[in-house]
Amino acid sequence: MSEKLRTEQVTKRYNDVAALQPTTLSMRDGEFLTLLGPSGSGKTTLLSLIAGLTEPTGGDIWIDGRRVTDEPSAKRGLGMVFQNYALFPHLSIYENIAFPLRMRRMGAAEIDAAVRRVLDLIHLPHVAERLPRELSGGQQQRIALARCIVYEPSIILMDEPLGALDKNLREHMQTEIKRLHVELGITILYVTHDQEEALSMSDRICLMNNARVEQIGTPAELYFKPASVFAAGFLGESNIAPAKVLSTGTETLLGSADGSTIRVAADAGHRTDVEVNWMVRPERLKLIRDGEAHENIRRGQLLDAVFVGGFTKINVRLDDGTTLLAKELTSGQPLPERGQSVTLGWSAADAIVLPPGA
Amino acid sequence: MTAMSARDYEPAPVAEPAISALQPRLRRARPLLPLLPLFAFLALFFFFPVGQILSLSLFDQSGAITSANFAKAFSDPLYFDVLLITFKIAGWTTVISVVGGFPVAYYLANAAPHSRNALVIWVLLPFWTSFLVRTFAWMILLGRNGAVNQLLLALGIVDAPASLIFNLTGTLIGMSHAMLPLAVMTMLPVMQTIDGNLSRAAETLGAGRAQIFWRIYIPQCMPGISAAAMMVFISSLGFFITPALLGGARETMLTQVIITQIQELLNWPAASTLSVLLLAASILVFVAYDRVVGLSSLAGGSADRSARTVSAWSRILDVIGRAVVNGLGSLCAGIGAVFAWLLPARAFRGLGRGSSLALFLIVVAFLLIPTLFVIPASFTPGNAVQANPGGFSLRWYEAVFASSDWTSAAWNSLVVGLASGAVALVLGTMAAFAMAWNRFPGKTAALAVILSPLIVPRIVIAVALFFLYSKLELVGTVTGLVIAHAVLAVPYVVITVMAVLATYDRRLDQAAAVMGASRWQTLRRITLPIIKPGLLSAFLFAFVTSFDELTVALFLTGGSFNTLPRQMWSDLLLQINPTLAAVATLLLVLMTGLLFLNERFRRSAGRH
Repeated sequence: MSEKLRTEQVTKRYNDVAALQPTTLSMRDGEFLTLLGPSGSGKTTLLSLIAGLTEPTGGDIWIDGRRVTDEPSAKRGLGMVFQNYALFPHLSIYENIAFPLRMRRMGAAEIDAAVRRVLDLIHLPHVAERLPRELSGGQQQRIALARCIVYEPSIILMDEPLGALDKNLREHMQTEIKRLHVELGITILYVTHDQEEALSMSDRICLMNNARVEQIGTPAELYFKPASVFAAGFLGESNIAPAKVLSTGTETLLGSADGSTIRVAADAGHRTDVEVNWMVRPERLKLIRDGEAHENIRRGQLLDAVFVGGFTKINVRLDDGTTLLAKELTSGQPLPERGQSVTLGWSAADAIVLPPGA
Repeated sequence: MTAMSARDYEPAPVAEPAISALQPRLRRARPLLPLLPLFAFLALFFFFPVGQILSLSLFDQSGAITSANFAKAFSDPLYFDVLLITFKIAGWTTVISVVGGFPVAYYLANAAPHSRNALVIWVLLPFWTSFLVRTFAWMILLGRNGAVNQLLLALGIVDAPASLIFNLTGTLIGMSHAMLPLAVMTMLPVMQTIDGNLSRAAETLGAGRAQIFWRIYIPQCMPGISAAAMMVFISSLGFFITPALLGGARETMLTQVIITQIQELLNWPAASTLSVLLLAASILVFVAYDRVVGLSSLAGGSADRSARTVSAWSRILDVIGRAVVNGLGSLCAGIGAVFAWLLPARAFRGLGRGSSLALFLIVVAFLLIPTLFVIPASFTPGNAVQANPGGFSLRWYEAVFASSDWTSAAWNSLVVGLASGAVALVLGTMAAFAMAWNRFPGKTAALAVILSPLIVPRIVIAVALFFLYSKLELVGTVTGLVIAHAVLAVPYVVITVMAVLATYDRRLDQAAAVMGASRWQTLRRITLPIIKPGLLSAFLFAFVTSFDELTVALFLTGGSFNTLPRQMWSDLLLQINPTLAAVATLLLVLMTGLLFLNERFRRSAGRH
């Protein structure tokens, strides 16, 4: 598979502040890659560097094997969907979509055919003559997409394109963007701070934090094999606690401060006596009622059990003071009372060793 | 991320090979290039001549350096009197305008946004009406047989006609009338930003209405009130139309003396010395204001005191001001308690709201009604100017259109207005782009440079350009006046366009760039069409500034080249006649039309 985009040690500094540490990233043709991270993590900076809206302080950018670092935005052949859509308020929907084609000096008949085709593609053939402000937020969003697709750019960059929509519309548009991605085989670089959006749409996620890449991988890799405490905490809910490596091998044995041990099924790659963190997802924790066996077992006191619909959240304070969150499917069985003594269990395969620090 | 994304993006770099070869420092300065034409223009036709005229005060008639001019200005009782009178009139005008303007600004600030837009027109209308027209209206009204005296006599308030004109009363009435709209428009933005919840919070904490007003509301209005006071005071210092037409010999102001010194005595050193004094007084007030309140509150924001070092002076004023305001609060609360005891609660509240409306209506009536008296006066069949003509005739309109003096003056005003508006628009818009979209060291200084034609009194600019033009042989030419008026109008253009660009979403430009548009294409097809209403509004304001301008025209016109205000001024000085009423009425209609046009531009500018 051919490489569509490559950044090589690309950097952006404002005076002494690093907006983006040297970053190397590669995207293949037809891939849906998401830059995910909190505010100020550098994801929008990376996107605008690739778009040519910001000049890099260092490094290089290649698109389709061509070095574009010094090329103006207009010459990079990219498409971009902006957070607020950036539809031209004084132009009709038709003229908005025709704009990139006019910039490419295409003939009138050709432009007309292309505009009609994309309006059909987004199921809005009847709005051509309207002005952007006469459309709803969701419709404007689809026009912004159409304006991008119409000139078949090499890569489409999307900067939090669904951020302004309400939850239902957002989910609908996620499917819509996914459909266009699959149907047209386009390459999409997507920016969001919404982890669910990233997990459900992406082929790969590039998790960013503190102006650098934290981890790149498929959604499943990031969820099940987070490489850092930050990655584990940012995607999904997690229980994270410090511990010390007691022994390594095919299985790693960790020891908590209170003397209890945790079994982890994989070789963590750490030497003994190293301070680490371990992590287990709440949905992998089980409230043991009938004495079934588990590789890891902890006793504690039930703080509260919160019914949130399809599942129930159970907070347990262990005897050593740490609090664990367990998530169970709601079964209708009576839950233990607050303050009652309970036992939590999980398998060694569900526990993960994380490096120390954030 | 929202806040970040807007900041993260920079203008799309269009890196032509020649440019990328330049030093990075030069490359970074490139977005500032559009400032150069305006700076060069102002350097040539503003800073150089003004500097030159001010420096004349340091030389005697033979060309030797001397301090005698200043010594004379301060020792000569005539000059000293004029200085004193100028300050006295400006001071009283400021007090009346701020006190009178406050209820109007208060009512507007607390009106619902929709009705506020409609009501503001009633303040803007006099704001846009020519000073000459308004002064003329007062001449009709305040004369011995004017409408005011007739009313007073009919009501039996006076036995003989009161002398309302050619004295301090007439001057102050005319000047307050001229300055009230400025006071209101300066106070309004600050008062609009005051959070109504603060008063409600004070009410829940047990404060009565009077206490809330004086202790909570007024202190928050102070930046607006002091900004209005400063603007009115500085503008009043340079006045000459009103005192010359409505005042007597005792009401001669500094500007009038400067005009006499040049036009009748050709005494350049004396005129220059007085100009220095006038400018120094203006700058002093400006600096004092910045020290005590901070210039930021001029832009509508509240003065941010926490961020800057608070001077001892402002702290002392603060303490005194607070004591006075709190005292007034308690006093009013005491008086209010008596009323509350006499009246049921609902009537008391209604009284409060009713009185604020009544004050608003009284002041607005004062602003609007006098001007309307020129309309009936223009239709008189007789030969005298009367507010109540007792007949109807169009003969004076026919006289205006038949007179080549008036028609050529109108044509000249139109040409100069359009041309200077165009020059100001082009230079000002370029500068506004550089100012609005770049952060660079010295930006505040650059803005001060651009705005300085507003701060330097017009008479100083007029005298300076007269001096320069007499050597360049530009006096009495269209070109000369177009340049001069462009200097006066360009700060308004820059301010207006900067305000429009501040709300412009630059992601539209970025979107165009990503889609393949060059910088020029983006500007022509996206940016300029979107900000067009703002540009039209700026042009209109520049046009009106020129169309209504007298001070500079007084010096730079001459011979067969005359403008409308100049022609009106000459006629007003000779004798008021119904032709003037006809011209004034035509101007009134034209300016009202332009104002409504401008409101339309302004609204469609805010719609996107």
